[in-house]
Amino acid sequence: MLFTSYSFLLFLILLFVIYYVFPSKAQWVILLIASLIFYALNSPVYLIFIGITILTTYGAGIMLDNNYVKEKAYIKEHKETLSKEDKKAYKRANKSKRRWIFWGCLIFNFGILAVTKYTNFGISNINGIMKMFHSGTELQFVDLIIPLGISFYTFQSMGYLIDVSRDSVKAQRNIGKLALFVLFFPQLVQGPISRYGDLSTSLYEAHPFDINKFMRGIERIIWGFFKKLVIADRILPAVNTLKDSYETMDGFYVVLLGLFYALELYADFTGGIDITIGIAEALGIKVKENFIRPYFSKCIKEYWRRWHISLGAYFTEYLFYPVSVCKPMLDISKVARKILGEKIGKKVPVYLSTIIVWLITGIWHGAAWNFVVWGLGNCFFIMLSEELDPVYIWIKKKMHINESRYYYRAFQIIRTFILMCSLRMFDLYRNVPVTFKMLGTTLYKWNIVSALREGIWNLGLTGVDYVILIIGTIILFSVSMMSRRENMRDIIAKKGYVLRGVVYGVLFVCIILFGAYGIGYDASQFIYNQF
Amino acid sequence: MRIKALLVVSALVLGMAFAGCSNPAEDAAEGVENMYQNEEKADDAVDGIKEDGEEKDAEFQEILDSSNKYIFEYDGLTLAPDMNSQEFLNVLGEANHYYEVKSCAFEGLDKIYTYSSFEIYTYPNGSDDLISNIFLKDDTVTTKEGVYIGMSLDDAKEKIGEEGVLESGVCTFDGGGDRLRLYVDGSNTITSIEYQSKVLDQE
Amino acid sequence: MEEKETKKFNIKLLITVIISLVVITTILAFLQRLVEPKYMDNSGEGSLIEEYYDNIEDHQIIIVGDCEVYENLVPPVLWEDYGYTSYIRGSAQQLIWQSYYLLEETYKYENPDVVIFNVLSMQYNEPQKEAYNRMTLDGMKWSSSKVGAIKASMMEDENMIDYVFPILRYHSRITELKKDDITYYFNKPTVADNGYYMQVGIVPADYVPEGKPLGDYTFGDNAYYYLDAIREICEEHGSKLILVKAPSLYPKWHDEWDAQMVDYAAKYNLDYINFLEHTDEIGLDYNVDTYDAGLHLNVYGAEKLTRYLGEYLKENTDLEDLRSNEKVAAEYNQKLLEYRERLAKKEEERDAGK
Repeated sequence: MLFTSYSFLLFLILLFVIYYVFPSKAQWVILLIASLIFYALNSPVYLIFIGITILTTYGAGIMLDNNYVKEKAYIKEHKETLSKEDKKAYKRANKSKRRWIFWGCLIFNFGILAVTKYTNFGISNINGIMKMFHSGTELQFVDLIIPLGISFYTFQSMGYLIDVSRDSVKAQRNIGKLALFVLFFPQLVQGPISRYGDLSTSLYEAHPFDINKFMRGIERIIWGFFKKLVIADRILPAVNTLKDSYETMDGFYVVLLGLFYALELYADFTGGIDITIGIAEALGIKVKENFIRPYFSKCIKEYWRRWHISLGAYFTEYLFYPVSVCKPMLDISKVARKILGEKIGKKVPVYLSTIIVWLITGIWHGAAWNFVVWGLGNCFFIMLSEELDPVYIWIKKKMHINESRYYYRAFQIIRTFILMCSLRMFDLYRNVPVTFKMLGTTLYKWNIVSALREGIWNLGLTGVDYVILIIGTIILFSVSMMSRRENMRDIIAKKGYVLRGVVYGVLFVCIILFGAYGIGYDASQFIYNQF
Repeated sequence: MRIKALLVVSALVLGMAFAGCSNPAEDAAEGVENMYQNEEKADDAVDGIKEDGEEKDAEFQEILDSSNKYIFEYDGLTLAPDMNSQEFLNVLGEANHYYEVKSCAFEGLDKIYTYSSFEIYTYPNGSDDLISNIFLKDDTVTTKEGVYIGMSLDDAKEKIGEEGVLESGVCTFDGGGDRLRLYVDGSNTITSIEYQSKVLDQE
Repeated sequence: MEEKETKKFNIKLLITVIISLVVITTILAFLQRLVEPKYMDNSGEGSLIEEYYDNIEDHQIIIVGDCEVYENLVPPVLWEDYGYTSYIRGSAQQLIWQSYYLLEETYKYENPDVVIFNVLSMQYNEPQKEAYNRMTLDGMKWSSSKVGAIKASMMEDENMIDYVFPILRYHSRITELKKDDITYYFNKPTVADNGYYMQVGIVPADYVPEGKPLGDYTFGDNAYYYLDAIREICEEHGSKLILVKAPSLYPKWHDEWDAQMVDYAAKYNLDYINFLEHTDEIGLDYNVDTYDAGLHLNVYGAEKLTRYLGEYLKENTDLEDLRSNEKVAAEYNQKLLEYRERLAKKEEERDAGK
């Protein structure tokens, strides 16, 4: 059931009615049932996978929590009698127990993810290596089902497990409630990846009907559909044409593809998240923002703090920090400092951790080498700019450049945008050599005249489509510009009811009229559903 | 002055930014070739069709050949579903008979070219006409595998080397992008032979 | 940023929502009319079904079927020569269940003495093409029959809601609007004469291909189900059902198909006329009587066929010649006049090479 299907809208309307008609205490149960139905409608078989994840996470969480409770109680009880060493030994024993539980559950669940998503990638690599050694045997690819939203729900539930194991949240003792946290349908298919501490309170609370909040949610849903249906899905045929027939495309088209894809991906992904957060808001639940005007970032590092925030935060919190302070890393650091000297040696663990994070971020996006290269590409530029920072400072000083001036900021923003568009080519072409080759063509092969005369009219877009896209882009850009200080919805809400009615009314009519949905348009999934 | 400086710096920085991927395009391409080969297989597993950079034409032909497992050869000409009608018209010349089937209320014209021992149906695809079906009409022509009208289905299966699926009097052999369909009578003798494109399946 | 208003029941907001919904609905209703196809120039066939509602009356004969009826039989000629009132409820590639539901709907308005059904659509056991479905179904007024027809006709990727709110189906036309969409926004001229869609072109059928063979010539269960339904509803209302097969040369009407219809008619004591077997008696000359090389008849062939049918009806039914009924005559003579005028105009256009 796609967000953009009629059946989903019907599902949503029914849910809203039931949710607010029943006593608010029952709301979380209604949500759980709705999420189960949502999931089961996609395929009942998937429920087994997510069910196993819920059960193991629930069990491990309780065991970890019990262990902490027991430990604290024991120490409190024997405060007087325990020597420092005894206490340490007792704690160590408990910690080791918790480690077994924690790692067991973590490896099991990430194992499911790895097997379902990455088996064929592994097989293809093994075959590649065997071919290198001229081995005649080839492993057969396996036909595995990939459960809906597995990357998202595995990450979310394992995030919970880590938090419990760190004793930073209490384990959820109601399995239904934990199931709701994992299954919560608006964010199940494309994120954001919520942390238990952020989501749980408002998820289980009672939410009496509040028309203000409800309409705010609906407004956000409308805005999300506008982005998805009017902009993202309209430009989709052109993006597909440009990337599929790359042999005939010169530099101009590669740049065009970069721009089109930037627009499509932004409208698609942020639109989807707007719908997710809007639905949650209409239900009275707070889901954290996943984007803060990312295309206005001044460097890649900042970009990743503003784009798909929940994923970046997840990796920072649960991967980067633990990896950079783990024992092997500390050992490496020691050795590195000895060999390379204090200054460079100090950086080794940071860079190693960064590389690991980006490698995994790449693989998370897809089981293929292009995503690996894409991830490492991001990593490369982040480290490069870090290393060259003194050079930049020197240049800026010599040239008397004032960083706070608008033109310098504009330069930074445009530079970052271009870099991100270039890196995204790996995601587009899904083929490493082709991507390098096409990026190369932007440097020497251009035929703008013929492209403007004929080329751009053969991409599957009509003149009217271009006009709609240009207007849509202007709207997106203006909204981003105006939302610098205050959320656009708040600005509109303050201007009074008439304007509010007109704005969302016009958006709604635009969606119906200009949305690329229904017969004649390919039903296109949200891009992030596939991860 | 400042703006000039800025331009220079922009060029420098952009140059630097791209240094990682502009120059060594070729080398990098070679360097990751092994990776790519693996990736390609993963793609194959997903899509069933691979796409390469430079040998597109040759490869397209390969795809065409592999997806059209069943082809009909006549007078040195290879005929297969989804082939452009111009290709056979150029070689075979005008058909003995030609018929246009106009669909009710809609643009678009299916065309039927009747030659002495086979009949070719086409469907419109943009400004071109592509072959949708080829019917063999008598035993003066055979399929590439040597199957002809009047042969028994068992003999035909043996020649083709596959079992096929017999349903409602038609034995179908799946060829990927096309099908070979043998029409049989009550005594399992072939009465008609058809090559069929899968393109129009959805319609 | 939190809302400043904390009232849970905000009457102003509620009123805004309600007013917005009313305004939006009104605007969308206007836009819907704009983007709906007008079916005037190239595909007038799409207007046939809706034109019936301007012609509701007690017809003696109702003819249902696909292009093999609406291009091959001429109600004004049945009137002129035999004094029979008739109407064709047919549209492009009208599937048998659509014919059934159209007949069911027709019975809600009138009770014909004779129902004629063209059996070509027996070949289809399932829906074929969305665009054809729309041409038949969009024109129907809302009723349980329309709902039934839609349900029976929907393709896999279709939704009922697209029929309820056609703007959801046709919104993409907003970028390709034509002059017709404005010209015929409020009113459309009639394109047919009591359901007959006139063609004046002449393309001889000097060769007709054999047609594709079939593995199994048995008509499908679904097709028979609706043929039974048509038969039963006619019985229920006391109408005589006559099955016909128009004398179109292509697509091929296989002997095996014909045999099944002969058997069916015999089993239920129905009349079945395969006009293909009577082309000489009808006087059809496929060099001049068809406009597309044998697929459909042109007006000259259709008039011949209609007269043959009229003769058959005269001999085999008790239909009354209504030409002496002043009221009916006044109306039908006017229709006949319009038909002749349309013919003259189309011939003029044809000769002018339009």
